[in-house]
Amino acid sequence: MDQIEHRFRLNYSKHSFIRFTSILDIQKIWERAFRRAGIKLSYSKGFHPQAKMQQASPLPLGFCGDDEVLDIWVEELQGNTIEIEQINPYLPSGLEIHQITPVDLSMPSLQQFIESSDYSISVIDPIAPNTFPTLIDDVNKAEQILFTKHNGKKYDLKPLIKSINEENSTILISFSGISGRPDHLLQYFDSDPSNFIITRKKIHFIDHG
Amino acid sequence: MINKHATPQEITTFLDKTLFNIKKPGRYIGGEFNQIIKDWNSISVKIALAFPDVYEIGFSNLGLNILYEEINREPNFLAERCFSVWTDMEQSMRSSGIPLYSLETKRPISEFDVLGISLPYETLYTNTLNMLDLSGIPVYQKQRRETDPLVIAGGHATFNPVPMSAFMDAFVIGDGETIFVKILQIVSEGLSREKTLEKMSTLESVYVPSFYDLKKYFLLPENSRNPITKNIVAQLPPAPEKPLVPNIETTHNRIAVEVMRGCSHGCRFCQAGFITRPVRERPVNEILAFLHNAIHQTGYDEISLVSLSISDYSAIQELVSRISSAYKSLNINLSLPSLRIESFSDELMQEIDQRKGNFTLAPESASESMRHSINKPISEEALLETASFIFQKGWTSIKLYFLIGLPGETIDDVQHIVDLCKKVKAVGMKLIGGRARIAVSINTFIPKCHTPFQWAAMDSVEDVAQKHRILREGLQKTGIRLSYPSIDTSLLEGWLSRADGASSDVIYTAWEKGACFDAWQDQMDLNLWKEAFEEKGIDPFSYSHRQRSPDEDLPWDFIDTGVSKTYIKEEYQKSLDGLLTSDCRFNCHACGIQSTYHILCRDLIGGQNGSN
Repeated sequence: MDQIEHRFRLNYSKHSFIRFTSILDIQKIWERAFRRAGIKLSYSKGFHPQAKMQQASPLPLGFCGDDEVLDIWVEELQGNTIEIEQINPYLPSGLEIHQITPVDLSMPSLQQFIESSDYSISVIDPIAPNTFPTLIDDVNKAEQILFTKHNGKKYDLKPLIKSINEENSTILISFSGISGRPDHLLQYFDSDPSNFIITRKKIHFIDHG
Repeated sequence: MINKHATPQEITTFLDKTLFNIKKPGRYIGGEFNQIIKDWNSISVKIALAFPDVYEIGFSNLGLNILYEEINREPNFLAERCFSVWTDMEQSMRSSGIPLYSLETKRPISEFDVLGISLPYETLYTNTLNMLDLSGIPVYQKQRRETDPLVIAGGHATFNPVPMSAFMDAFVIGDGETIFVKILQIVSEGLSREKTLEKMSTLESVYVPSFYDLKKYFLLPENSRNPITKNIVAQLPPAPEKPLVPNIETTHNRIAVEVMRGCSHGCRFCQAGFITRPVRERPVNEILAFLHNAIHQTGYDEISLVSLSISDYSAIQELVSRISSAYKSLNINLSLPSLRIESFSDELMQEIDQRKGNFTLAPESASESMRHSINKPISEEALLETASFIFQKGWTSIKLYFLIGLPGETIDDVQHIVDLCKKVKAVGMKLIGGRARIAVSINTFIPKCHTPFQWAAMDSVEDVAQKHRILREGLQKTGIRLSYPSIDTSLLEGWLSRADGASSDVIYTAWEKGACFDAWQDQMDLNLWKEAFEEKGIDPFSYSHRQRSPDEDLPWDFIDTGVSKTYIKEEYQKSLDGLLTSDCRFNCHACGIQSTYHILCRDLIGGQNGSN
């Protein structure tokens, strides 16, 4: 039996304590929220059917997001589209959708088209930790920023940094692609990321028409 | 020092700064869908509901969820939740002076009027003490002052409340529904602590230990009632309308609906079977209406029917087929806890989803004499027939539960377990070849209070070790997976479950020495307990391994479960004589429940209220 499928792109924010949920948790949270909202997601075929959803780029545990992107595949649409108000009341506190757009089914996966990611870093406590004011200088002076990840692999953060500057005691930083992480940058310069709120402000996509 | 008056803002800032470096931070944040937040300042009585283990375990506790909604339905009361924090979080909290807080509004637990603690099993005792201490509440009940919350415990472990009596202001024995609301009404009168407790103690099912001589642990003062009769709700109250939905994975990620409370089989080893009588069934239509609403409220993709023995439910066939016809097309799974072996029917099996691949059976014993002794008579033929049925229907994996260490058990009885497991494996091999998987889970029998084995001695350490060896060697190279709890784990449970009033100080000492998360095999350290018992001059084996005379006064005798001691004694004698007692659904054995509560058991089953 062929189902008519629809694909939608959801832009949403993830704030407050729900930032301490992992990408797998968030997957489940969305699945349940859609079911509560009465939106029927498409399921993959096979022995373990999976709801068809696609996150542009997993947000690391503990990060806030202002404009995260999620594609969903829906079957049995009631009406022509999905309204924001249809879903938002069914979300746990901290998640909120601000835009829904229909997407062509043939469009390739989101992950392949990420051009850059913008982050902000701001202190939690008004008492600023000592390394914060020097971060921009440190970054600018460094030739390479070789960070060793949990799995022992090293990567150089320096060439990934498109821009870094400060605005209202918040650091704004833009990384090319998806692999650069602000918490790694802070750790590299001996600053404990737990003193900051890190927010992914925006994911930029390559224009693919 | 714990700052028990930390503000919600201070606690929030602490969490913001700390959780980044904490394992599984989603445990500590609250904010789940269907969480209830009321206006703190306009509520007269506030209760914190606690489960003394980590969030993932406590969250799924049905009792806690029932009380949460029941209390919050009352306009003048509010209930928030808290759980044990893992060791990394505890360290951070203590070093910053942050007290245990409620998940909903991040308020210190000590600011609540009541702390209600769920105690389903004994290995949560030290966690309970730790929660009190982390809240800045004096651990010993005698040291609490007017401003401290009233600490009240309930749950299956409190059917022997004596060991925890030194730490609790009150216990609620039996079903928690309706009675907690009554307690909060008394609290709302704003009397002194002493007067409040006095008034609470007039409720039939509430035990207030400070009015008793704890040194003598079961001697009652002149004016007190004896015994304390467990609370029952003759009709199951409506299941929660808006079940909480976690943001992280918990032990059970599904809609749980209690279809039946109590069990009519009377397996003599099973404490739940004796303390949750009478059997009460929820009507089919009520269950279906609940599910319809709960799926919309939660968005879960799995339904679990909760009861001690699901296949006894009068209308199980109708229920299961109506659920599957309603929800199969919505990718919603139905899971049933272990089915009784004699209850299988072709129709029932057709309806159950096969996606899971794993089927659980609990024969408990493998020899005729043991089956008679524990009153769970399941023939080998029936078990093997069921196994072949399960494999034919498409399942590839069967899990078998057995008990060892039962009174009167011989080495032969254990050898029978080995043989039976091999036979089940052979059935599977014959039908589906190498895909057939058998897992065997062995539990060590621990005699529990209010059961016919409450007088029996636990099996010796040496014998249990030998029985483990027989199982290990017998199942070697058979491809059958074997698991059993460590002997230490069983010992601790054995020591605590039939302890008396003198054990309170042992529990305190063990906690002081660092005992915590005793239900976690990798955290529990029996040496701490051994030292604590020794320091207090108590031989723990006198609690666990001593055969009691049926005439002996027992520390928990003042708790009346509704089942008479005479009946329990008869059952013990029948066990020794190898005599069976039939399912009381069909033939009342006068256990005492009907006369205690002035009810007729048959009125409470059979899908009353118009369904069926």
